[in-house]
Amino acid sequence: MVHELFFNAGRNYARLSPLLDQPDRIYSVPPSSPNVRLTYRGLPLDVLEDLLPSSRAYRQAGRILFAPQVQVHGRPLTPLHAGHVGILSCSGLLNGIFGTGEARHVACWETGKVVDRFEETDDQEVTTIRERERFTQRLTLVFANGRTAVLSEEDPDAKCTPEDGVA
Amino acid sequence: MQNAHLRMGWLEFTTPPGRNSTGILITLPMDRVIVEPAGDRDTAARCHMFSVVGGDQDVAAVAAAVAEGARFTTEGPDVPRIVVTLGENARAFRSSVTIPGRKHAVRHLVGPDPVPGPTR
Repeated sequence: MVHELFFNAGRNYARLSPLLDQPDRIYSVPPSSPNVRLTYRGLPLDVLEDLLPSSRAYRQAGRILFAPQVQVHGRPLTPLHAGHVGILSCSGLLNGIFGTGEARHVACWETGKVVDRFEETDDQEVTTIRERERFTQRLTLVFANGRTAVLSEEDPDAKCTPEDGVA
Repeated sequence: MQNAHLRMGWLEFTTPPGRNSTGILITLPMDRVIVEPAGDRDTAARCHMFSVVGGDQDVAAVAAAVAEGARFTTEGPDVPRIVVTLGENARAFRSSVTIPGRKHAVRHLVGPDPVPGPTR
């Protein structure tokens, strides 16, 4: 109980009252042997902080958190048609910076999963719920003047946010 | 680096006492956390990632809680207490960190968001 009380008090530094110059109580400490050694048995946070970046758990989670971007290098054998460019764009292989002047922007395509939900009620008042999963593309635009827009299947005519707006 | 305790936060996991079990309180040091605050105060904030260290049993309990989609309380230096959750179908990655001079290795747990891309 006392341990928990001190633990909670130590976490709230701001709520601790400042120590006064004059102590309110004085306790006499009995003399001890000269070979007393204080040992800290808690977790060595300084060492842990240096070792954690190389932890195996971080490497495993990094494949989810920091998935490497797909990069394609090469030169097409024939000129790309509009259909080719569309397929490459939707698959995220043409993400990058486009345009000039005020239209200069960063474009990023993403693929997401959506679930279509259907409800059918037959003559016997039995409702059947069907869910169908499919993939759809989403385009995120960030313009040089701060405007952003997210174009997706749900909102294909989305407007750009104002320059000082929040995306 | 020194004075890591001034930079690390804390992850707290509590379970209320039941009829046949006692409640538990687990507090682990947390070196990193990514939280997206919720719109209202009644909803737990969406946690995209946290990383904690601790003993074997404590980390195992937190890993089980992550798998169940439990709620945690996080706080840190200059960061207020906030209730977070990793959501459903979350998983945790565990590993051991060997510290020179210590008999037992410290367990490390990273709980990434199963769907980190889209945000609310």
